[in-house]
Amino acid sequence: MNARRTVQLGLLAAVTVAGSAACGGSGESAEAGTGSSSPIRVMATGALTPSSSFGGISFPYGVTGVKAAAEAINAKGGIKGRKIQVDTCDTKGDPNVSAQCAREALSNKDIAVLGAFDPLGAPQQLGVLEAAGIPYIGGLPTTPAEYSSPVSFQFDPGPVLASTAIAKLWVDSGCTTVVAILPANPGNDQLAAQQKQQAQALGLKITTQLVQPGIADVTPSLTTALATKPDCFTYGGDGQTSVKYILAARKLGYTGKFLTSSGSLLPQFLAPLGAAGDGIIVLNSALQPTSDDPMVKQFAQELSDHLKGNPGEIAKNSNEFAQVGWSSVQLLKQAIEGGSDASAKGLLAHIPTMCDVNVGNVYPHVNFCKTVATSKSLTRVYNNQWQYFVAKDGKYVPTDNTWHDLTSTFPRS
Amino acid sequence: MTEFLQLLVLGMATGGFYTMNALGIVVVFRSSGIINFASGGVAMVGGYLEWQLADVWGVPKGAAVLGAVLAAALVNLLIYVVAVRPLATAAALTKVIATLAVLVSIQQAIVLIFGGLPKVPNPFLPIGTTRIGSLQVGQDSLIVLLAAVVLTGALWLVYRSTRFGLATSALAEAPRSLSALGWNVDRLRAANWAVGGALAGLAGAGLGPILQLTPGSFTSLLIPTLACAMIGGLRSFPLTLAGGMLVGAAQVEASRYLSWSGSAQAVPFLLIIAVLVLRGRSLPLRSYVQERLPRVGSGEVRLPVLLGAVGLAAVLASVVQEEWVIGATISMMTATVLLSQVVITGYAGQLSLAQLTLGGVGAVVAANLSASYGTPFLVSLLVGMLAVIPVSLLVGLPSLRARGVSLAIATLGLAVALNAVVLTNSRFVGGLAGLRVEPQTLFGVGINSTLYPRRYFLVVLAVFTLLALAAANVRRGRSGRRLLAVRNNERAAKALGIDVTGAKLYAFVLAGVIAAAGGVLLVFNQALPQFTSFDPLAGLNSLVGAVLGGIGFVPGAIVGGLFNNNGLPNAILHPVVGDWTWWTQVFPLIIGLALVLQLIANPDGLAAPLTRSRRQSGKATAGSGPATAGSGPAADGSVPAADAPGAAAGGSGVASRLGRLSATAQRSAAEERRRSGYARELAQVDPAARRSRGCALSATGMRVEFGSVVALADVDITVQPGQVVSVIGPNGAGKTTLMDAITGFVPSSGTVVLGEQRIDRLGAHRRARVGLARSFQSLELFEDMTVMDNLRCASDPQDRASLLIDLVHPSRGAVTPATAAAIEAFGLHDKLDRLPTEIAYGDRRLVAIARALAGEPAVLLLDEPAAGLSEFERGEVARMITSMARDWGIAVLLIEHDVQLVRQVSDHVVALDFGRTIATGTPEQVLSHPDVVRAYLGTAPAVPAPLPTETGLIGSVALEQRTGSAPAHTTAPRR
Repeated sequence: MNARRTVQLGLLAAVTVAGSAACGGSGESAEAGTGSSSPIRVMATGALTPSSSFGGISFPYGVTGVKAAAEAINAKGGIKGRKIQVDTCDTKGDPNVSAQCAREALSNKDIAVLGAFDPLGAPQQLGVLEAAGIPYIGGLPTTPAEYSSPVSFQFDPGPVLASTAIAKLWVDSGCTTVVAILPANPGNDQLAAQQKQQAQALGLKITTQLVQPGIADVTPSLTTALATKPDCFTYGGDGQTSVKYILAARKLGYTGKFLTSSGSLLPQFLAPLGAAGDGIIVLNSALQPTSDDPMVKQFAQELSDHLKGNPGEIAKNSNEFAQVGWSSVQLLKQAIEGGSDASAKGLLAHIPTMCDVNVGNVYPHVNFCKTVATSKSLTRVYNNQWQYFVAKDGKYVPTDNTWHDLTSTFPRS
Repeated sequence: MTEFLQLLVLGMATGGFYTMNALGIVVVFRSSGIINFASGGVAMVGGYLEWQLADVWGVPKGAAVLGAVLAAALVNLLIYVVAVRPLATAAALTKVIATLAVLVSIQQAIVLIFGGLPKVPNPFLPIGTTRIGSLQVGQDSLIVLLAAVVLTGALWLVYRSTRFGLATSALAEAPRSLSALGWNVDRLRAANWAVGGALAGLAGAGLGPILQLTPGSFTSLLIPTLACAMIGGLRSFPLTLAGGMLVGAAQVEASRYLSWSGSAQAVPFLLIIAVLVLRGRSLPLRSYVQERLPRVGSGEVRLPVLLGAVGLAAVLASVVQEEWVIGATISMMTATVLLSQVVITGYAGQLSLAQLTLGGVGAVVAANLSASYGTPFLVSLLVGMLAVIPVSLLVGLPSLRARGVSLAIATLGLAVALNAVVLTNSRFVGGLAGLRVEPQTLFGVGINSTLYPRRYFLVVLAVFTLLALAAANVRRGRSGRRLLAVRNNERAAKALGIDVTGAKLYAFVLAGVIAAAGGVLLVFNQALPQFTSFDPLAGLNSLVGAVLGGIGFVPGAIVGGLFNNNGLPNAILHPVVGDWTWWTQVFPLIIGLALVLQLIANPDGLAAPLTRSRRQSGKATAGSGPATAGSGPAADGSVPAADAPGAAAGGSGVASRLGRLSATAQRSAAEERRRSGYARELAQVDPAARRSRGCALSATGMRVEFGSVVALADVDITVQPGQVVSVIGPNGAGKTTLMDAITGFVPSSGTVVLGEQRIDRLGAHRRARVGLARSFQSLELFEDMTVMDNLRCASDPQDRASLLIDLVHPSRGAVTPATAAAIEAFGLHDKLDRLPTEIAYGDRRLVAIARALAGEPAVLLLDEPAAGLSEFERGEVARMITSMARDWGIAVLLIEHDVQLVRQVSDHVVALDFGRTIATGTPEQVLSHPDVVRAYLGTAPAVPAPLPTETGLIGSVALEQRTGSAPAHTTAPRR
């Protein structure tokens, strides 16, 4: 074998080995089973490594939340004496990998997929999970499929509902003239239209704009938008672009308010904003991890235990993604302790009978017996309650500690 | 109006950002002729370093910016030294892919070092707003714009006025000439890469505080940056600046005033197309330097091997674990898209960056059909494939006026536009809810990929196999020869009557249809069809896979498919590697660097050695240089015997020697088979049966103007069948221009009549088809084809039916009597299976003339057929020219510097100078004509020299002195 061939084969091997790490998933034990002493296997998925789909950012937080909750429950003896085994799968922000993750859940005999945040791949995961009859519990829903799949049980309203719920936040924050910008992703033209409809129904003057996703220079689009002299401004895309808009708007002399959903401006994006971030108002579907609520404190403690007290990691993971993962394990625990078989089939049968679920006070009580609203594309929405927060010194603090039921803003089309 | 002007100003300010980035790309292109995709990464290095130095370590801003600029210059220099220079002889495409691999590595290194969260560098430019009347613009943006203008001016001056700049201007096109003038070409290129890096670094440091820093900040500027560089023709700094302004302003105005979805992204590329139409050429100029393209396979299919492989794959798919099957499905679907790249770039030589997006368009059509009408899978697939034909034609249109990297950027632009207008448009992709597609069936059997992944794999395998067979068939057939001819040399292809436009569009359509099949398969593999994976940047990644696999080889598509992160290798090794998270983090960095190494080791792709023909084995054994008898090729694409275990080069053991012996034996047997095949073919043809279709050529009032320069002024010339008319004149007299004008290669006025038919309104290839054949001064043989295939190209019927028939039943093409006669006349029997590069120069000249003859021309125009030949060879050529006229009845128009040859063969001579006829008559009359002598000597001799009857004359000596052509040959007896 000559040197050139060696390089070629070496490269192929490297690609093979490296590629195989793309969907890295394994639990603490390879043993699977459904016996009374065998662990309850669940899967947690997320973009564990930085993904170009998310501008080079990873979203491992949901998985962290699931693991933190599972560790704490296991430390207390597990669920009905059975430990929870968390299998993980890195979606890498790639829909094809998401589908593979779901297939892996099937081959692992995982009884549920928990705490996912998968804007690009959720429909692919759900396609497999529906066929396999595995429930998809407590993710951060970002696609209509997650609000309509028969195996999906969501207690977080998610960004899709936030895009229309924010109309109420505008009103409640005293806005009269609003500019709302969304990235021109598929479907966002419909969201923008719904947003406009809601805002106008609430008596607001609104200008909506769709801009190229990942736009480098936001100044031109912003200048056009600010020409309408708004008192409130919203960007509903990713955190990186939100930072650009906020800084550019301040530079252009805009003195009005910035409002968005927390998903569009995660707490970690407040740091790069510095003082420019103060006063930003966000809509969030969960209590902040800094809340005094005892169960939220429990979340914070269990997260800290899981992360071995590492302050940097704790700060990074204290967010809605980790909360939704943590809460999804609480729902699983309550379902099994409430009489469900520790099986996928059992959960699919039992969860729809759970009419008053407390997933840890992070969210309001949720009723899985009936939806709060339905539309053509969103048929299974169980919660549309939100909290309002304001940014101060790089953190979000609640404005009124009240759950606002924004079902009236539910998009009807 | 105020708003329009306001947006115009802001758009132009954004254009300043684009220009800052584009200048570095232009500098590198001017020196090396390649687009440095890594430039965005280098800008990021500058931006992040400036932030680190100034905002984290407290270095003064000025020093931080300087440090960032120097570091970026160093990084770009390293890219040149490590990734580009070792690829000096590789195809331009390979070099571009190397820079893409470097970009991936830099991006990932930045993610690893700085993380993905944005960094907001403290501004060092004023951040207030400047008002101009009612218009306002950010002061920092304005300063960047002014900096772009100043830099543009400085670069324009440097590259126009300094020795360094002038040498660089000559570098991309004539490195050897520059070297001969004493320049160190390598250092000059390195210096330009450093300058390009410094410019990128300056852009990064300057724009960081305005755009903020994320790992993707500057990659997102890539496409508009390329657009404005393209408007500058990748050479002109002022036009690049203008392009920046134009693109920036067009984007902003389009997003405000055009209501159609994606207009802001699409409009800049409509501008590019407009620029290409205005500035491009339907035929490359004589000076056009053909970009080297990766090697192509032969398209030979060994049916037993194919059937065995497909059967084995089908059997394995039913027994191995499901994850492997799913991985193989993803690899195979990717391979289908890459197969389209093999056709369009490998075979046809067109650098299309739109193939994956075309696949997406087919997928959108198929998914909509299925979702709306519940059409069966097969119908959706076929309609999806057919629907992409008009879109492929649209994408192919720029290829009629653009080539190489210009075409690549144009197609990338169209991909961006298609993505914006179709693939992200709610109207076509189902909006928020997406498109709900029912589970697919085929002949009543469920093939839903979720429920029946093994069955879906079989469907994908079948589709890929059929398409791969079709692609291989095309390669072997007449249509494939046409594509290869166009890829090799458009001018020569036209001269043989090949419809270059038709061949290019055919390639785009065929490749588009294949890509659409891949797209449909990909989208039906998803539970809910999504189209985000078809975006143009993903298309760049797929091109990387195609090049790594081997873009000229059908098996290269399969190898490229394995590079999909979710493909078969991943599925197989996943249980072994598990959640080796650290590895996945550094994977893109390592893979990027590994790709560069791989490209250096094997620029033609991994499949090239796997499908290496015995030609390469032969060369490896026989050594370099023109092949000698016994080292001939086997263009069958089979695995070389020399690659067998024990036959590795350099092996010294008995097994190795035995392996080599075995290889040689197999090679000889294959050569023998092929030669006897040719002999059989030739034996069935009677060379004497060639048609004699000689007729008169009359060109009158031929006039050619290049701008304000009159290259040819009202020249008349007539050649009768059986007659040889020579055109002489010093360099620049207009001889070749006259030939180009007569054959339709340059726009001209005047009348050209062939026999009774006026042909001056016909295109070049149509003139060739009616009987006007020509050779070229620089030969312009098709170097990817054997001598035999070069000849077949000339004699192939130019029918359209073969475009479809070849897909299923490729025709190798019969040997015509004219071809057989040309082979016999020039004694080419033992060279038919060689590539032109494997035979001696003199033989190549003969092949060029034979090729022109093989098309049974009525008129043959020969451009310096004896240049560079030995005395003996010139004698042979003279004999052949006379024979062609006298025996074949062809009218021959000869351009030649060799006076002795002219005297020897010509019936009539026309002398040109400065585009005008200065003398006509017999050779003796013209060669001693005072104006002719003056034209060569610059002054008339005081006493006209007598005309010798046998040997040299003053005119001929003078002619050779003036033209610097071969020494006088006065000893050959005149016939």
